[in-house]
Amino acid sequence: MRLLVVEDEKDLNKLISERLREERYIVDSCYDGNEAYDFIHNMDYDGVILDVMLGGIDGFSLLKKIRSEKNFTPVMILSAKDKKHDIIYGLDQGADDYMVKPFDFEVLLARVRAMLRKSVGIRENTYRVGDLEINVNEQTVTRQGKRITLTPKEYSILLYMVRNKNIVLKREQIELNIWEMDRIGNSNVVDVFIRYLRKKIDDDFEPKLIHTVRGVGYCLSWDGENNEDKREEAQS
Amino acid sequence: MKTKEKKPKARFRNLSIFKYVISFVIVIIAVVCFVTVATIEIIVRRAIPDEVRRELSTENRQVLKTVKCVDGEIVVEDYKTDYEGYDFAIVDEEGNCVVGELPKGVSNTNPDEGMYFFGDVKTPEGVVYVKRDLVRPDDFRQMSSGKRYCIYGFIKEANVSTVYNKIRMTSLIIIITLFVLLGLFILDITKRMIKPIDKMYETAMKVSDSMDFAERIEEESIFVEINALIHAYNELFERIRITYDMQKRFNSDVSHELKTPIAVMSAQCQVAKQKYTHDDAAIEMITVLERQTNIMNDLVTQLLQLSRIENDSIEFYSEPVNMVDLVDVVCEDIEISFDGFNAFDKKVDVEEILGNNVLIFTIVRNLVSNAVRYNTNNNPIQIRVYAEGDDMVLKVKDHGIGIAKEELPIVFDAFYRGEKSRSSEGFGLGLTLTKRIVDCYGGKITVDSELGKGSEFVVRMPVSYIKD
Repeated sequence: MRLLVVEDEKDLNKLISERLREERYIVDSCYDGNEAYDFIHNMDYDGVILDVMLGGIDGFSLLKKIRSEKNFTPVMILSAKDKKHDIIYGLDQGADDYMVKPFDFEVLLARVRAMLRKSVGIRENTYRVGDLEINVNEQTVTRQGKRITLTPKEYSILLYMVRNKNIVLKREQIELNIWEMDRIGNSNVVDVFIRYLRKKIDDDFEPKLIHTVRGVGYCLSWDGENNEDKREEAQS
Repeated sequence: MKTKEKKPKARFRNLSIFKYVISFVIVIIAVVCFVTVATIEIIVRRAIPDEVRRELSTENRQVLKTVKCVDGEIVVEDYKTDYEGYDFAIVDEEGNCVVGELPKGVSNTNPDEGMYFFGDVKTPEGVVYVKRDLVRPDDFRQMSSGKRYCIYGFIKEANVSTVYNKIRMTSLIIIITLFVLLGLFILDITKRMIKPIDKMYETAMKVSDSMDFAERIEEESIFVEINALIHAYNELFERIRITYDMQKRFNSDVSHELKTPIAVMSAQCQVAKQKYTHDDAAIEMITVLERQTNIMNDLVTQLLQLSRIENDSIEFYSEPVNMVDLVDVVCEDIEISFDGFNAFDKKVDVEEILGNNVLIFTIVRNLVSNAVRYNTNNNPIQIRVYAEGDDMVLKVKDHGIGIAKEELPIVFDAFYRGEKSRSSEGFGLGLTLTKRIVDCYGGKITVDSELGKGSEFVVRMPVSYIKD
């Protein structure tokens, strides 16, 4: 899952980003409001951690601007402004959460998890597609009740695909959301992982969950028929 | 471009200091010993005859004191010599021995010619020193006739034992011991000097292999000059480490910060393309922008990957890698990137190993795409993966333009590109990256090539297999 950290103090920014990366999130960093707007506007983020006092446009204005453009990327405000009216104003502008600095890292991480799961409309930390279940708390995967062991990267890809079920995902999209550093430009190492995933979650089960959309990418869906339409749609 | 290398003279190449010093010391000691011993020998050889001559004279005189003439017969009364090995003979004018016998080979010579002869005479029994003295008439207490006699005192050379001989022996022993000690001393000093140098060499090699500039030379020498050198070396390592770390961090930071802006640019291009579908000129411009952005993205990605590997922040053995699947996907991927090229002759005899998919994918893909890039006439690309002992061997062979001999050593250098590269794709980082990854796995990559015939890259790296 891809997060954006907007924080003008470079050291703190680096600290937060590194900590999030340890949790296997993909993290981009930026240091002023205008830059942050470009990023949010052009990239798909699963969540944004936003400081209020920024160069360029400030955090509140930025939030107002993206919400006015119907961009509903989850946003958590992380600010030293701890006055009641600031918190109220921030949340009313469309922030999903508000955290006051100084903050506790563990709490921040828990709130990030909550924010991310809310955006796909679940309340428990379990994702389901048909008979496939992913328990995020325990990081376990089962299909038809059978436990499936995945490597961290396979798990990340599966989770990403499940979070975006029924959507045709391009290889680059998967790559961008699963790993940033190990990425090889213009290549399809994703295909290797999809092969591994298929062996584990599809080979011994029916119906198949992972579908190839030729020339585009992959789609994870439970209903096979719907999928045919999507594929044709994507190809046209 | 060929540069003429200055070659040192052959006889001064690759000498080991230790061996050099050893041979030097041995030669010097041998020469000095020889000269000294020879000098002593010469002196002694001159001194010995003098001494012998003196001794023989004395003894001769002693003998004559005890000689009597009884009835014309000459008799020697109980004579005792102090000179060991001394013997004598008294000879008359006709050459007949009156008393004693002359040693064989010593002939009586006319007493007239040189009354006091002394010399060394070669006999079948070795060299004999001979001293002849004339017997004066008053030497016999009772002279019977006017006959003239002479006395021969002689001693075999072998029996000559003089103080000089002792000096010769002693000085010989002293000199040899002295020089042997001196030699050992010099060797010891040399060893002590060389040991830190060896250690420095070892450390330098270790550093150059592992690129770990935190390594230090711990050795201490008793010599201040060498300590200064070690200190300078360590200082140098520290400087390099700081610079290297800075550069690594710089690379990593810059590439990382460039990635998102590039991604934004790329996304904007796609949006713009959709927006201006009917404006051909705009589409063309945007396409150029997009292509260049993608190129930039690849470069930044590779730089980032390189710096990540150099920072050791990648897990090298984190997951199972299925070589069969991986090689398949690489081939499919190449087929898409290179206009449907699919002449692969592949044989993968290794199933699952423990590694990092992305890194191993990078190795295989870089080698295969390289092979395809420099291949000619759709010749098949040969891909072999097999186990050899504890190693996994990956061979990628093309039948393309090949690499010139003088370029072989630099193909793994950053930003090297074959001159006749078919396309302008690539930055010359591919093989550098590949080599770095193989190095990190503790493997070796080699290339064998012939101009016009093609190249073969061989990766050999230790792997652990996954056993079910």
